[in-house]
Amino acid sequence: MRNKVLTAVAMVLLGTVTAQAEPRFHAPGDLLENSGEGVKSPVLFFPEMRFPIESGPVYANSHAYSIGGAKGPTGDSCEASNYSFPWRDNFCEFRRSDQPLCGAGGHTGQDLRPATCEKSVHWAVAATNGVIAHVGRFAVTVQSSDGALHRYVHLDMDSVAVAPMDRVAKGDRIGKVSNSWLSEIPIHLHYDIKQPMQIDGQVHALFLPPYSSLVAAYEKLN
Amino acid sequence: MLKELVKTPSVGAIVGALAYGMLTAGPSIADSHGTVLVVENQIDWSAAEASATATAEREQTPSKAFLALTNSTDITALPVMLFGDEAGLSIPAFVSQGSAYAAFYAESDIQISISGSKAVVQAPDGLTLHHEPAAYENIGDGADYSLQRFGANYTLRITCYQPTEDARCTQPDYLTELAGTLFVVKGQANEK
Repeated sequence: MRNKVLTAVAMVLLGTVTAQAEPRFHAPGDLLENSGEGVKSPVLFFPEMRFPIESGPVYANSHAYSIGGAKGPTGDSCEASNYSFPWRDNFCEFRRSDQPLCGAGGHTGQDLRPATCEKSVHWAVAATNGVIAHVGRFAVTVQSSDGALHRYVHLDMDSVAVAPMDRVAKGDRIGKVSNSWLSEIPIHLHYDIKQPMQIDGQVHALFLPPYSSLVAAYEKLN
Repeated sequence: MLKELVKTPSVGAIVGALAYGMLTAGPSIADSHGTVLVVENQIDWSAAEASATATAEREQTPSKAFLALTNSTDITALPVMLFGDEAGLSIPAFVSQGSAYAAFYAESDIQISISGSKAVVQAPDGLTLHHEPAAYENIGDGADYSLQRFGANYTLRITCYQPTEDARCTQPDYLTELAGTLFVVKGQANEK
């Protein structure tokens, strides 16, 4: 009897493993259909970054185009499918239309849903050593020593554990992930990074694609 | 560690990995990428010093207020630029990271920062500009204004209590005017 149970468990697990035999991460630039034109470069712009949420699992996908989002199917944003793999890049998703690196669309960063659909529970943490360069109504900006500006948006600002000009190290707690904004939005961290880049012979401060770096950092986290 | 678990799966290990959503198939994205080169620009200290000299008399008040800050003497390897007296802002908080610095102005319903640095990422092959970058850009909860001076890069960031209504965040005029008041408060004499 015991052997039959173990065999059944093994079969179920084998089936599950087979079902899981697909990437946990869609490729960089592979945005949801009709949501914009992503940047397909797999380059790690921030290879040393720490993942910006303290612990996993974390689900990277569009808060706007997924279920319960402003531009997505009607439903509850806490829907299980929003909290599942594989990850989906949403840098350059349709928001504004003039992002320099975006062929179409203009979302400046990546949406990250924390482990559970609860606000003010999961900590956003410093992805880099640096200083707190800016604290606004909804967001905190960390400046790294090479001048990159890492921005954490939609935090529970009452939970923010840092003040302007504080020095932070990778992994230090910044604030809890929430949905703070002018109106109700799904719980998520909007995370973006801006840094001067030399491109086509000139230097411009640009929001850079964070997705590949986030994937690499997440794999190190786990 | 996880990959080791997957290579030699035990029932317990597989269950644990599944519960955490961590089984992978094939090479990961992280296996197939490159990284970027970051270089530090040369600073034109002669131009920075000349600029500081030209504005020294006009900007005595914010200069003195800045120099009274305990960390204003921290070594900064680029010209420190602050908003001039004409901006009418409070005394900023300041912190240096050597090759970068930040100044933060907390006003009643807006916050403004200046982030200066001299590091520049070199664009990797295949990355292209689809739209001409502008100095001013809306960032949702506020706006940025970026400029290059003396070989260094400066980003002014403003956030507003009402970011979709306050013209200081929705229109470029205010940040552009603030950028026009920037002056060099600290130059080569402070660089080691």
